Amino acid sequence: MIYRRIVREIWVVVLLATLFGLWVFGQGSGITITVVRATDLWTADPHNDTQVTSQSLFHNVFDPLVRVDWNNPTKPLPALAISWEYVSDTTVVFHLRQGVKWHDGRDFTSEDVKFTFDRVLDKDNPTKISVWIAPIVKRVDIIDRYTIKLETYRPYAPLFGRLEVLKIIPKQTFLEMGPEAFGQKPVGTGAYVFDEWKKGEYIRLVANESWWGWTHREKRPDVVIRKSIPEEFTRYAMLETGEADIVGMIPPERIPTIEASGRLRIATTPSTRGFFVGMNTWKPPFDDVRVRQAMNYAIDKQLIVDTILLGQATVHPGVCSLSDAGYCPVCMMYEYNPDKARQLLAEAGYPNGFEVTLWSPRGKYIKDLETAEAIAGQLEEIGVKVNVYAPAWPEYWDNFLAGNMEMYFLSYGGSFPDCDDRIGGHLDGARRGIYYNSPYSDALIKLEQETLDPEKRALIWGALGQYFVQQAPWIFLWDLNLIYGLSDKIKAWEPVPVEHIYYWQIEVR
Amino acid sequence: MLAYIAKRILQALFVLFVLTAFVFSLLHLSGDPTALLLPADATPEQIQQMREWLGLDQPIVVQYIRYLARLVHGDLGCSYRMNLPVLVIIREFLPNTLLLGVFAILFATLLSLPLGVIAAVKRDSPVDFAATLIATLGQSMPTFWLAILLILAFGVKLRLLPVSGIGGWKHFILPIISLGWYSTALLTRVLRSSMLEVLNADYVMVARSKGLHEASVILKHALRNASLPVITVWGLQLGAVLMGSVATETVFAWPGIGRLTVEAVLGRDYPVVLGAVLVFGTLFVLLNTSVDLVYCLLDPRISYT
Repeated sequence: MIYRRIVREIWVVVLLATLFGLWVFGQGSGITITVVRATDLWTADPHNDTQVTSQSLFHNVFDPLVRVDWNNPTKPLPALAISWEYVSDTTVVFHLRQGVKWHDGRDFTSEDVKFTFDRVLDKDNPTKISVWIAPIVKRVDIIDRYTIKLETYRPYAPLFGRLEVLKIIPKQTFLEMGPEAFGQKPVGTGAYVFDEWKKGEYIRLVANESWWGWTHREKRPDVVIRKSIPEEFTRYAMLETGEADIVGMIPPERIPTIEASGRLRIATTPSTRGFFVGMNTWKPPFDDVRVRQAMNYAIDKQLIVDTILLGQATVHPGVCSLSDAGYCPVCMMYEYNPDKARQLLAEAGYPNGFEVTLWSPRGKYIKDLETAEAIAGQLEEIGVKVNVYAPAWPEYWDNFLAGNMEMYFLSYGGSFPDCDDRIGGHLDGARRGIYYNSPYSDALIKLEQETLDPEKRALIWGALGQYFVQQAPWIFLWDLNLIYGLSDKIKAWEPVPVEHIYYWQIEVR
Repeated sequence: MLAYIAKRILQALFVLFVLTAFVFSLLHLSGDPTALLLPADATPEQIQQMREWLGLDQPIVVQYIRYLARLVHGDLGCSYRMNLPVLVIIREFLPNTLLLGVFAILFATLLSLPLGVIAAVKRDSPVDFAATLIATLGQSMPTFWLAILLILAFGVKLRLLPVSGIGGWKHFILPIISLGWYSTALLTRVLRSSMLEVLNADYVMVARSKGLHEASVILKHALRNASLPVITVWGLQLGAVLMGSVATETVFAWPGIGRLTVEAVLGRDYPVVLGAVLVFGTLFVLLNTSVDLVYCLLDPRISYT
């Protein structure tokens, strides 16, 4: 009797376990994919590694309060905050998502949000991401368990873009683990659990079945292995040999080979990574606006895009990227007109041109040095002798910050689509306009920042964009396309204009 | 012998002290790491705040004395980028480099030994031609280029071997060949010329005239004497393999200290660079001392008493 009862109970347990197993594993695709990037994480602490590829990974492990809608940069998407309202121009109340669990099973509450902000606003122990948050956010207060109040120093229109980069961390877990341990195996609320990190080898992420944001969970990868491979050829070889399923930073010349393989394919998108040639407008010859305009007329941008970048870039007028809030579609595009360039140079007092050094990064961006040399070659045609100097990035950046350059080829790439983010490091006197700023543009920048109405802000950006085009502090060039190689394991995936890969959007087969 | 070893240890400590001072100054002359740690749009005030927090606003002498004070207690500092103690980082990466290095030098030794000897004994034969070809190609091909060729041939075209990372035994093959190839070439060349010299010596002729078997003449009499210059070069190659690991580890994404150092140099992560230099320096000094001691075993004429 007892024997039969034990057998029956064992059967019940086995049946329940099987059903549970089917429920757990039946949700996923059962697929593991390998994603390869060029750079490795410094740390898995999302507040101390601001590299764009690291931030990409953090998006999968953590959630911010809001996310960017790449189709509509002025309208943020709910994440850990489900709604919000401005109670004054400088105060926003956020209503938080309820029922969210941290990966270690604890409840997510407003305590975590306050703790996150307090950490990055702490002046005595600055995190690296504080650079983006501390100048804007004054304080965060808890209203109740699922409501917080955020106060900014002044009205600030790109606030939501800034908030997207700040990943919320768990107060209790962080305090228990300490920053060092948390930076090795962090705990988030995101779509994937940070499972294992073998340094220099791989990071293993496992799908978080209880994530609030899944759509078509059964089509998404169960496990993502993330590797960093600095050498371009090795990344390509990994795609060819089936060791990788998504590979970033594919150079344009590899596209035909990859597409011809039949098994692999290419995914591209215009990006927020814009390129330009900056000029030192404080010193001759570039202190004369006519010289700067002449430089713009002298460059056949489309020719360089077609021949060196093999069409993988989009030429556009002005300072903002195509996907930015603030992009100026009506701004004038400097056409290629070397005769007009020569005429402007002559009017400015340089009929025989001049000699200048063009600084270029080497190996930081795709085809950077080749592009700089092509620009130099085209400028020579209007009589400007250009010496290209391409040191390693640390030397380049030191000299950029020290204001030592006459002319420099550079790129900007932001983590959210707002033109204010692009110009901050280059053209805004209040922040860091090392080679150009003006009282007029600075005033307009302050105004666009403080105008919360998107329509009015767009008008200000129109005026600002046209002013910059007229002032020509840069030779305006193009936005580079992001190019990814995909294996046949990836059924569908649309890259976004920034170098982020949201694993929960990848459809596998 | 013990006195000699003690003297070499003291010399090694002095060498390491000079090395840290030199690299420390060189790193600080190369520029400030703070701006590379922060987002590109950091303002000068934010950069200065981080500089102060890291203690980089202090005079270089103060920074160096602080570094030495920590070093005496076995603390190599904390990585600016990885927010981890350097010792922890090195402990994670060093074994992979040592493993690769040991196998690479083993590969070079096992290949060059027969190749060098046969090339000398069968002078102007096809084996000699092959050995000369290997020596010429091996010494003229940059490591990273050979690595790419290996990936192309055995990974992309033949699909026989994995092209990156560390895993099973298959992952070792291409990095070992890439790293050991230069040493193979050099050792083969040195051994061949050394053997050619020794094979014409009187004592080899005497050995042959005694009616000894040819294999015994070559292996016991010729090779032992020919190996002394090879041991010197071999010792230097142990160091060269460590240096070569920088290129090999980068191309094959091998999680070793060579790749770590390259990334730390590019990011001006001073504590990691200094830690890696100390490790490389210590290994180099240790290897050189060991080679010196091996001389005693091989050549009775050498003594350190």
